[in-house]
Amino acid sequence: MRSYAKIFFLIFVVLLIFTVAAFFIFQSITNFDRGFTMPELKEHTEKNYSDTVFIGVISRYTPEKIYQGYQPIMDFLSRRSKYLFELKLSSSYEQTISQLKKGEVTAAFLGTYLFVTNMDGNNLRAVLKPLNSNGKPYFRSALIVKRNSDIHTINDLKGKKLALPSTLAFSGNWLQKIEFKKAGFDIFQLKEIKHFHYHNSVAKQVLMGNFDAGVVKDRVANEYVGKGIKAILYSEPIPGSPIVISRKSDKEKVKILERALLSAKSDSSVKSWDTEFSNGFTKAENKDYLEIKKMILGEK
Amino acid sequence: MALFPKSHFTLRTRILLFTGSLITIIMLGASAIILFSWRTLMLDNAIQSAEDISKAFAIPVIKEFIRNETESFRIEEELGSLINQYKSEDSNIKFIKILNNKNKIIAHTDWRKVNGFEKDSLDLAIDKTDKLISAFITDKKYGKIIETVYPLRIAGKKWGVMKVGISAKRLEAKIKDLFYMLSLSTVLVILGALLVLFLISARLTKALNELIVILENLDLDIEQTENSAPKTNETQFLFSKFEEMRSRLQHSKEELINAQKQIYQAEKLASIGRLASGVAHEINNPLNGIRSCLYSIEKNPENIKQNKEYMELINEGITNIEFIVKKLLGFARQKGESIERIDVNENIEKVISLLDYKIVRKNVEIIKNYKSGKISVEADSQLFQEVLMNIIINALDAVGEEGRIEIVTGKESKNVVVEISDNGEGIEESEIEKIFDPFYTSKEPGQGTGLGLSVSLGIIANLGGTIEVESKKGKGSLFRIIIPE
Repeated sequence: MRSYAKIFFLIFVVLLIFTVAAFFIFQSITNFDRGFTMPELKEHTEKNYSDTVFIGVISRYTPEKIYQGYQPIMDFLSRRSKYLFELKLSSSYEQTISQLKKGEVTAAFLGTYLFVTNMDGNNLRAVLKPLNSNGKPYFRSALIVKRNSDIHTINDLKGKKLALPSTLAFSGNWLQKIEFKKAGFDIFQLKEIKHFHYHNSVAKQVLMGNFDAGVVKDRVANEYVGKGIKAILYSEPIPGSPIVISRKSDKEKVKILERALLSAKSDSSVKSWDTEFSNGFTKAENKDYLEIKKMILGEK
Repeated sequence: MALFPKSHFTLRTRILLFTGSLITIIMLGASAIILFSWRTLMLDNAIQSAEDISKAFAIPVIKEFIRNETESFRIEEELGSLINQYKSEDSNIKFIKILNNKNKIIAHTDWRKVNGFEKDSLDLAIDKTDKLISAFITDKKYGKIIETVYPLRIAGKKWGVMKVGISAKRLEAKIKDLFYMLSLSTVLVILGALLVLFLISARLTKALNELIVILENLDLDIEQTENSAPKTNETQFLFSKFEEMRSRLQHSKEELINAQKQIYQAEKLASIGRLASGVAHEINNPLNGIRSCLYSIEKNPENIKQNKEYMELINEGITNIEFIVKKLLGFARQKGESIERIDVNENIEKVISLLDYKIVRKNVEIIKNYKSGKISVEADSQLFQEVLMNIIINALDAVGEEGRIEIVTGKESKNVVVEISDNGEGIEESEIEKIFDPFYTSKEPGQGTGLGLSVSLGIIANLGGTIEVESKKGKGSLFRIIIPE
């Protein structure tokens, strides 16, 4: 009988331990409050800026992509000066040019085509142009097709579907205004022609087979070469998209902008910039764009 | 008496307690590990899910901010509409609030809080990072929630902060369910394991108990029957081995008995050898008388009357020799062991009469102090006499001329006691414990085999008795034979 009493006592102790353990475990698992873990802070220095410098940018990409590629440039400029540089997006290129003319923005990123078509009437002046990966201030437009395509020349485009970037981009006008004329190709021989907002969209359309050929900047064409795209024709070297100022632009701020961007190539932050500008800038003048202006506008 | 001593707990109880405790501890530990691992996994999943919701919702919010830069509209209204629509689609979202860079609440699912300000150490930290952070919080209003804080930022461009509170009640309920499920399954597994253990231990201890019962009832002289063999497989093998061992023991016992008999006989012959000189003397006396009578008859054969007397003397001498030889033969005769109730005093007298010549020759005084009436024991008469013979001969050898030997018989409790004491030379104290060792002797070579006392102790031990010795050097010795009545 004493043995049974001991057994019952032991069972009681085990059950007691079990119950107490279960109680504490229950309390522990249901109380899962966990405060905020402070994030690892980036190097951050509070800076008092003397003024804000707005830089216009045409909507050549989605706003998010513009911020991703252009905001680091603004941050770089802010670090290198006493001014806070901010992007000023616009809903149209006309709005950007208007902002330049009114002095609402000190400078603006314009496309080559837009600049050459608006430079004279609006007293715009190119101050900087981007360098390509070879360190040259040029880009080329490329006619791209799928790797296994039977299109080899302009004339092979007969009855084919052609994808082009924006009508406000040089690449969106190159074939029609320069190469088709040279080859004596009539645009109406194409089955279809369609403009897309972004160069990447053109490349994707060709890659997917929705269009037989397309035109993009050489930089974009190179991105897709390994993915089933080949370039069958390149344009002459075209001066890159300039940073443009107007008469109303503050000269001191422009100087600061120029000086900073001309030395930007050595800065580590350029890796996060839009790839068009990640090789740095060189000085630009309006005369650099006269040749292309003549070609596009058909001036003698 | 039980073969194994009893402890406070039986073997089965100990197995159950020890193994049961072990299983319980292991199961509790394993369950706790599983519980906390799953809980961590669930919490991480919940956090991940909340962060994904916040990140996904941050995209349209940022788009609104960007749109606001190119199109002029009241961002507060657009965001208010957006967050309320988002909240209405997911009942788990308790609140969404958007703060601008000045920590002013510009949109909140609780419209009364719009235009309020929030600024704490967390917000200061958020200003300096672009990472989403989250926490489990018990809020007075919303209960347990996961709160995420996400800086609305692209690269260096920051528009503000979005804070989202997502209910953690379902998560809490799931964790509780997990706890209940694991607790229940742990208890069931423990109970199941204990039940299996209970049954296994029952089977094991049943087999052992069977074996114990067999061992307790073991008699080497009785062959085990088939029925007595254990029924369980585990002990059948043990039992068969045990049965082999029992057979070998039985065989050894028989050999031991035979060896013992041979030793007894050898010792008896040795005793006879020692008797021989006395016997020769006793026989010599009548033989000399017979020779003298025959010489006288030869000298004077015509004296019929005298010769008749001599013939009667010769006849008497032959009768004496016959008597002596008969006694000797009676002692030397080897009979099969025969246990019977024998008279102790009578057997002592027979032994004394055999040793009479030696007693007389050494002129030893024999003092007999027998208990009145018949005292008897269950024993073999021959073997009992051999014991007495060995001890009395030793006493006779120990005493000098005109020594004294006292023989006392009596009863103590349920034992019969025979005490044989002498006033001889006694035994060294250091030698006393050796005298029952086989081949121990203090006599000259050829005078004794050294087996007498050893054999005597064996005979008395077989009867369930013992022989005790008290001795002092120079004072004499006392041998006490104790035999159950």
